[in-house]
Amino acid sequence: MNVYKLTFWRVMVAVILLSAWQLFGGDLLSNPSEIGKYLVEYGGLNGEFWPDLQSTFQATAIGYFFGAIIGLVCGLLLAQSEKAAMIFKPYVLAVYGIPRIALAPVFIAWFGIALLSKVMMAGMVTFMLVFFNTYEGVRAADLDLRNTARVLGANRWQLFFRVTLPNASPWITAGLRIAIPQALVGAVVAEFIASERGLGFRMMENTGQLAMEGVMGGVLILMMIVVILNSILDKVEDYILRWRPKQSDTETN
Amino acid sequence: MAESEPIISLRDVSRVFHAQRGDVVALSEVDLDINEGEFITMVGPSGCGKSTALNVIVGLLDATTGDVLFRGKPSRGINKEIGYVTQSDNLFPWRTVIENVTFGLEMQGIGTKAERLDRARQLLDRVGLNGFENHYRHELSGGMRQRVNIVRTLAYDPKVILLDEPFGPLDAQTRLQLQDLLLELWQERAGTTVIFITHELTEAIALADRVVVMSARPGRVSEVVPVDIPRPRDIFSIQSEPSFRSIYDRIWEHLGEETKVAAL
Ligand SMILES: Nc1ncnc2c1ncn2[C@@H]1O[C@H](COP(=O)(O)OP(=O)(O)OP(=O)(O)O)[C@@H](O)[C@H]1O
Ligand SMILES: [Mg+2]
Repeated sequence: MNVYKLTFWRVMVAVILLSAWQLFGGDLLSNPSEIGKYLVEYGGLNGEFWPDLQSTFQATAIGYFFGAIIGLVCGLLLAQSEKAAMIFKPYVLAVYGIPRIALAPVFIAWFGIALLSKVMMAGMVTFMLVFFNTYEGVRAADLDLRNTARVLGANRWQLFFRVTLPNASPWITAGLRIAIPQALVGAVVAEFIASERGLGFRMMENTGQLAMEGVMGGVLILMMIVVILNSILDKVEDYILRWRPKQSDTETN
Repeated sequence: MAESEPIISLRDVSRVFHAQRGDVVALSEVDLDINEGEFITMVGPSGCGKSTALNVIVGLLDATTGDVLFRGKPSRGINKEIGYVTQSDNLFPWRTVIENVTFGLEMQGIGTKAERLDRARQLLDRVGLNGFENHYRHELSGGMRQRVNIVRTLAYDPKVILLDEPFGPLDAQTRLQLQDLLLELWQERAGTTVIFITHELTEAIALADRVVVMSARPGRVSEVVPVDIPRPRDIFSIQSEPSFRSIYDRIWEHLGEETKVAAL
C-alpha cells in the first residue's frame, strides 16, 4: 500500500467514526461539533485552557524533575551493593506493585489540595519508574564488557561512568521516557480527586455540571498532549540510543 | 641471568570450577615458561581450558592452586602489562569503532585526544577499516568486529598480548592476510610477547616460535613443539617449508590422541 492510499484510508476511518459519533452520540457521549465548539472557546486566546495547562504542567515538571533525580540516584546506589540489593528487593517490588493511583487520596490527605500534592503524585510516579529501571539496568551490566574495560586499564570510577552507566542507558532512558506521560497522568489524577485548578480539575468541574462536551474535550486534550510528548520523546530516545541496532535491521522484508 | 628470566611462568597452575553438577577441572598442573619477545601458539580440543589459561594469566581468574609469575614475581589481580583480545569481540556497543580503539589509551591517560585518534586511525588503516571509524558495532560484520577488537589492544602497546582465536570468524583468504599483518605488527614491536590460541594447526605453526599442545579435560600441557622455521616467514607458502610437515605431524600425533580421548 503506498503512502497516499494509506493516508486516504486512515482519514476515511476518522471521517466514518466522527460521522457516526455526530449522528448517534446522544447526551452521554456528546458529539464532535459540540466538543469542537467547547475546545475553541476553552482553548481560545482568552480561554481557561492556558492557566489550567500551566498549572498541570508546572506540577508535572517539578514532580518529574525531583522524582527523576532521586530515582536515578537511589537506583544507582542500591545496585552498587549486592547485600543491600538482596535485603531491599522484596520491599522494592512491593512498593512497585502499589497501584499508583491509590496513592492520590493519601497524598491529598498529607499535602493538601494545592500544588504540593500534585507535585508529589507526579514525583512519586516518576521516582518509581526511574528508580526501578535504573536499578535493573545497572544490575544487568555485562560482566564480559566490564572485564574487558578492566583489562584495558579502567579504574573503578571509569568502570562506572564509561561502562556501567552507558550499558544501563537503554533502561534508564526507557524509565525516564515512560515516566513523562505517567507523571502527567499522576498530576491529573490528583486534580481529579481534589484541587483548585488544572486540566483534571476542569474535567471534574464539567462532570459536575454534566457538561459532557467539556469532559470529552478534556480527554481529547490529554490524549493529544500524550501523543505529542511521546513523539518528541521517541526522537530524543532514538538520538541518545543511536548506537543500538534498529528493530527493523533484523527483520526481513 | 636476568635477561633470560621468563616474562611469564605458570607453576603447577590448576583451576577448578564449582558447578551444580560437580566440579570441573579446567586446568591441571600446568607448567609453562614463556620468554620475553616469544610468539607462542596454543592448540587443543574445545573445552580443554585454553581460554581459562588466558583468563588466569591476565588475572581475571585466580588459579585454584599454583602460581602465575610475571618477570619472576607472583602477580595478583589484573596485570596492566598484559593486553587481552578475547574470544568474543566484546566491543562497547555504545562507542564507535574509533572510540573503541582509543578506549585503552583514554583510560590510561596516554597522549592527547588528537594523538589518540591519530594512532587509532593509523591502525584501523592497517587492518583495512578506514571509512568505518564512526560505525557502531551492530553495523560491522563478524570479521570486522574482530579486527577492531585486535586493534583496540594493539593501540596501547602492552608488553604481552593474549589472543583467543582472533581469526575464528574469518574466511581463509582474510585469515592469511591478517596472519601476515599480525606478524608484521609483532615484528615492529620488538620484545612484545604473544600468546595466541587457535584450532588451526597450519596457523599455529606459521605464527609460532613454539606451539603449546593442550590435552583434553582436565587441561594439561601435553607437548611443547618448537618451530624452527626462520623469520621473516612467508605466511602464504609456509606449507612448502621443509620442516613444516614434520612439525605438523608431531603436533597432530599429540592432538590426535587427545581428541580421541575427548570424543569418548
Ligand atoms: N566460568 C565458568 N564456570 C564453570 N565452568 C567453566 C567456566 N569457564 C569455563 N568453564 C569450563 O571449563 C572448561 C574449559 O573452558 P575453556 O573456555 O577454558 O575452554 P577452551 O579450551 O577455551 O574451549 P574452546 O576452544 O571451545 O574455546 C570447560 O569445560 C568449561 O565448561
Ligand atoms: Mg575458548
